[in-house]
Amino acid sequence: MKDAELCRWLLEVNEPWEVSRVRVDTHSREVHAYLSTGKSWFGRYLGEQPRSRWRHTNIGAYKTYIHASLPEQDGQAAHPFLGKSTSDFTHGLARRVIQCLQDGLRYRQVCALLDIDIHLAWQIKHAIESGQLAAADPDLRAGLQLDDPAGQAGSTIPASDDGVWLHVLALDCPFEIRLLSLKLLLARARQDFAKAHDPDMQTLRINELRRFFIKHEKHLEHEIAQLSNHRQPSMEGDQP
Amino acid sequence: MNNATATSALLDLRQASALIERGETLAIAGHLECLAALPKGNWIGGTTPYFMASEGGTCRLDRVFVQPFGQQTGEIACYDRERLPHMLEDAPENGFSIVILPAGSGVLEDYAREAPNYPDMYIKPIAGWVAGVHLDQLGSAQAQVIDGRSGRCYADQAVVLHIPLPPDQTALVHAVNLFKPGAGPVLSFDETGFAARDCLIDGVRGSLLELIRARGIDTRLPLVADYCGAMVNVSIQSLESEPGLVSFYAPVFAGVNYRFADAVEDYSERFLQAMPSDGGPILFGCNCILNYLYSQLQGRQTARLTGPITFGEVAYQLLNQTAVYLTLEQG
Repeated sequence: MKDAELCRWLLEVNEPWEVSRVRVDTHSREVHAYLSTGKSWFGRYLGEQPRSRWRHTNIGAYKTYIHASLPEQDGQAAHPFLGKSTSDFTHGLARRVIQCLQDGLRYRQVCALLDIDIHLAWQIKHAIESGQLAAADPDLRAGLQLDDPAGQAGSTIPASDDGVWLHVLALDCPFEIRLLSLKLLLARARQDFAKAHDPDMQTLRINELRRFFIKHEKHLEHEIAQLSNHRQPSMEGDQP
Repeated sequence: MNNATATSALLDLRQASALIERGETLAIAGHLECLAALPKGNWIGGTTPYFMASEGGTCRLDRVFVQPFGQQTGEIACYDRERLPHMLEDAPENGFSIVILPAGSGVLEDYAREAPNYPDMYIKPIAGWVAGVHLDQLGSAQAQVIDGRSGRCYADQAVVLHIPLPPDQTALVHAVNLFKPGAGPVLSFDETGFAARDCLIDGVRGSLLELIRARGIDTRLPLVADYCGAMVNVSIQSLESEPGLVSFYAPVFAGVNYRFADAVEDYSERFLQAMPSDGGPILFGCNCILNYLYSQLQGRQTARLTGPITFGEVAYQLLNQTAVYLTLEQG
């Protein structure tokens, strides 16, 4: 059985979706599955078409990420192996988290069990608390507020719906950057932001920028301090 | 990565062959005949006879510049125009990629135009260079890249070395660009492309060629754009290859503001001042043929940055008239 076919079974990917490519990073212990919806897409670069990247439940000890471009029309079934275009995690992972919480585990335990880092933990928690995940009942939301060990207090990177990202992406926002990669990334993101009015596209760019900050956190002390400074005046009390 | 093994150097073929046969993963620059004479192994190569050696800039047809990345590490992949956009998807989550693209090829044109929009661009470190030919062979020889595993040469594919790093190490890509935007008019272009006739000159449509001639602009000076503090050059290739046309070595991008650069006096001295003395060991470096020519770097040194003299540089996206290097950082 080929890797893509095996991955399709493991992830329970079904039609019209198919796994077009799989990459296993043994050093980082990650599986990356690239999904498409038909042969006509296979191997073809879709240029400007935004592609989402979602964390899914692990395959064994390997963190699993799914990459796909969602069709533009709304009303897509909430396949467990996909997520919202603007989300960092799949529907399947969110359901798993909620199921674990409903079974009585504390949020910290759920994150440890599912190998969820503090940045993603906060995103999922925020989605539950804000009612974005339909399966989460009010009691469960209330319980989460009492259980914040993996919350924003442990993360120096603001959540993707934090207003500071919109501020940084404004063309005239002064932001001193030391890393070449971040200078180029922010310049591109600002150009895209200036011409793209689709909120989903904007959120994808914010997610990408946030992902950069998470990945390079150790080298971004100066830049993270500026994010913090930009947040101070307006965001106090916004985070749980 | 253990950086206590071999260091980057200009070597004769016997020395380079010994490193290959020892199992080192290498990026090698040299004249085509030299590269073709090397044994098969875990290396990638590209053609150029120009080098920034530790002794200074030089042109050698009998030596190759070798940049080692450790023993039996990394993966080599070749990319045609269809697969090129997926290059960074193949890169390790923690590591870096070294790319060599042949000058005058479709893959180079695609990379120059589209790389900023490739998946994982700017997230995963990538540096590299554009292979070329001896200036006496311009128009008669073809730039080539080589997959050292097979010894196959390509004029229409990019060759890439993907190197993973352990969790406690990170690769950082740097660019040294001494050019700054001058005080001239702001130029912006309607379309992304390697050539232009008209553009907006301080907001008023006009001919770029006429502007250059009217102001007596030295076309050895690049157009410079400010990308959130990173100065990105676009060098002038030729004037009037067609009537009224100005051609570039890299594309100008629509929606980006450019200015012609101010002149840089004493490049070698200024370069020494611009190179940071701190930071981790340099694993890879390269500098532009136009800096070599216009700033007369033959026989002159550029601090601890050595490597091939190239026909375009890659620090994520394609750059011109820029030195690029990659360092290994702990933590």
